[in-house]
Amino acid sequence: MEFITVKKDSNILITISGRLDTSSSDEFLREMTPVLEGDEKSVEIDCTNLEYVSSQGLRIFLMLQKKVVARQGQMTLVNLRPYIKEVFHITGFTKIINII
Amino acid sequence: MKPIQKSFSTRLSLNILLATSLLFIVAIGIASISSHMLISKEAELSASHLLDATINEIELSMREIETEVKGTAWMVDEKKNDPQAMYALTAEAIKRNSKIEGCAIAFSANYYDGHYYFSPYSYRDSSTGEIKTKQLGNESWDYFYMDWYQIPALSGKDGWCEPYFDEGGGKFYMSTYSYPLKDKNGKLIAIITADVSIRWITELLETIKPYETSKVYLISRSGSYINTESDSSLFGETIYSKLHYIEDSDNDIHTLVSKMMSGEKGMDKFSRKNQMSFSVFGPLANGWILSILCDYKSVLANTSKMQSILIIVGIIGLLLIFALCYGIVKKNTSPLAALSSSALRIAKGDFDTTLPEIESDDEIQQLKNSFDYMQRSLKEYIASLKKSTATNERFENELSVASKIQMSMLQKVFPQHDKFDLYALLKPAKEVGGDYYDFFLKGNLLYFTIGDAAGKGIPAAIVMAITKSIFHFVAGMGLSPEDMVKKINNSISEGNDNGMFVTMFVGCLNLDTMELTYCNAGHNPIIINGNFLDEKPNIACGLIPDFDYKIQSIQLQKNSQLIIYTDGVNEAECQDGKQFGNDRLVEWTKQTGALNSQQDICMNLLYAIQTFTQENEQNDDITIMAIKIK
Repeated sequence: MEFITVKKDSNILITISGRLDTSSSDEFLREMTPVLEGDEKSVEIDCTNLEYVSSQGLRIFLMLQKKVVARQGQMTLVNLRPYIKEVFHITGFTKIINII
Repeated sequence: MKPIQKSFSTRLSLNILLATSLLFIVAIGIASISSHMLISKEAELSASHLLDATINEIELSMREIETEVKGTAWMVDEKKNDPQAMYALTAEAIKRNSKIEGCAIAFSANYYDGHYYFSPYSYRDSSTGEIKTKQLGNESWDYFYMDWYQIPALSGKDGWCEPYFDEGGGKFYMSTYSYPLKDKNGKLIAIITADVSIRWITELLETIKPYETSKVYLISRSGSYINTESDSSLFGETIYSKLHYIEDSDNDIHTLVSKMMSGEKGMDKFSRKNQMSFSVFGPLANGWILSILCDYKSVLANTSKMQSILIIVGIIGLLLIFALCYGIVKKNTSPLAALSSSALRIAKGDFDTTLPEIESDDEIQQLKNSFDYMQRSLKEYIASLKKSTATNERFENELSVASKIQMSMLQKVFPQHDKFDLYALLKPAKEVGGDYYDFFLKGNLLYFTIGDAAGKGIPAAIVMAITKSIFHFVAGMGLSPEDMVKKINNSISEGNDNGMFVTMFVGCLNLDTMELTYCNAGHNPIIINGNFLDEKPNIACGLIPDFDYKIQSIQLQKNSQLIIYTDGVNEAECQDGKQFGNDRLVEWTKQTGALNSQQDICMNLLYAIQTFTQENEQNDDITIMAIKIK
């Protein structure tokens, strides 16, 4: 699992690679803590190399979404692989998270 | 700690000792060689001076005697007309010079008419010391043919004759000085002699030995040893007869003797019986030869003694250096030893050990600082490790509690019913406990549900507990699946800061009409008769409060086969990351006809998944529920 965070003004680009499973979710949550507690209005997450997402991983996306929305910002997930997108679709996450 | 065979201090001190010893040995060697050379040179020089002085002293005494005799000769010439006065002259000569033992005035034949032999003679009586006078010379004592008379008479020159041993008188070597007195025409009047005991010379020679083992030889012109008192083996020998005992190969000695006897003055070294010696030699005015012989062993005896003292002092010094080095090194390295034992205590786990105080500001201090840093880091690391271990333990504890809660919430007894068969199984993954299944029979209504709470541990277990209680409550009241999902959604959404959510499928089968009403809250679509059921994609519970979940319905037939599952099934992965997937799942459900019971279906599907994933560790709970309409 690898996370790269690039910050510019109130925009932040996060690149996730690898498997976001139960064990790596904790690490992801730790990495995202500054974003959760920050004030970035635009959060973009590049999922080109995201290979797997568990329900625990989804939870963190949900937490991020809630926090960003609470500060009148917007979170966008981009370049999801089809089977990952399917997970987001089935669980209804596509209804609350902006996925391109 | 492994015992150190030789401590650092010992080793360093030994090395220093070795180096110093080498230097010391070289220094002693050089000092001893140069001192040997110096002392040898000094000894040779002083022996040579001694020789000169002794020769001078002997010659002085001899000249006194010669002068005495010459004086007597003058008196004889004055009083030659009075033969009787000659007796007194001889006695006076002895009186005047204590070295003269006897004095004779031997007149030439018939000097006084009628007296063929006339030789007045005085001598010192050896026992009483009295001076006695008599006339020597008669037919039985025909002095004209004796050396002391004949040689000066013929040569016309004064001189000392060969020493001879005085058997009758003093039992010691004597030598006679003869002076020829001539008249104006050069005709011999008389030979005036002085018999001199050589004892005073031998006594003098005894006192000039530079070393106890030194030898002093006085040798006559013909090579006889004159001073034989101190070495009786020389008695009657000559230097030439002695030379017979010496091998011809000893060239040094032969050369020395020939140099000596030719009247040269000088110094020569030679080796005899493995002993180096030197000889200083020189002639006396009368042709005798004096030689002083010293062996170098005696010359250098004192240096050897001095050398021994030097070596002893050196050894003591070296030992002191060793002790001093050992002490200094030990003192300087003792902080290291202390540090080392502290490090050992740290290694054994005593992180509170106090490091020794280092007073010096050097490498040892730096080492101590490094140790100090290491100790603190270790302490912090171990503390954090303990903390995280404790956290892990708590976490694992929590997981196992959650897992127990999860398993206790599952129904293990399945209803025996004439309208349907139902079986379900849950295979928990190692760390994840979010799956849940349940069913409830209320009159002619069969409620069933399958859910997957996000996350793990206690939070997931709480969500499931909420779900279960609402499921039983709503089912008990006979309400629709839609109401059930809405209530669960609102319950979880309320104050849901940590993004908790649950995906679930709730179905309600009317056993009279076989109509299935269902609500899918973000869950995987169920499979009916080998096809995915067309489901409205609602959203998982917990995402949006008061979400308007849509209910759907489908008419089932006899033998309809339902497979309800969680994402642990279709997302099961094999080693290379490939998922079991929907296609494989649907294909598999199409071949369930041969299987008799719902339990077989569940077990076989699990087996198929495990066959697919092989050794790969299960990464999510696997839950399968199978229902068949009879």
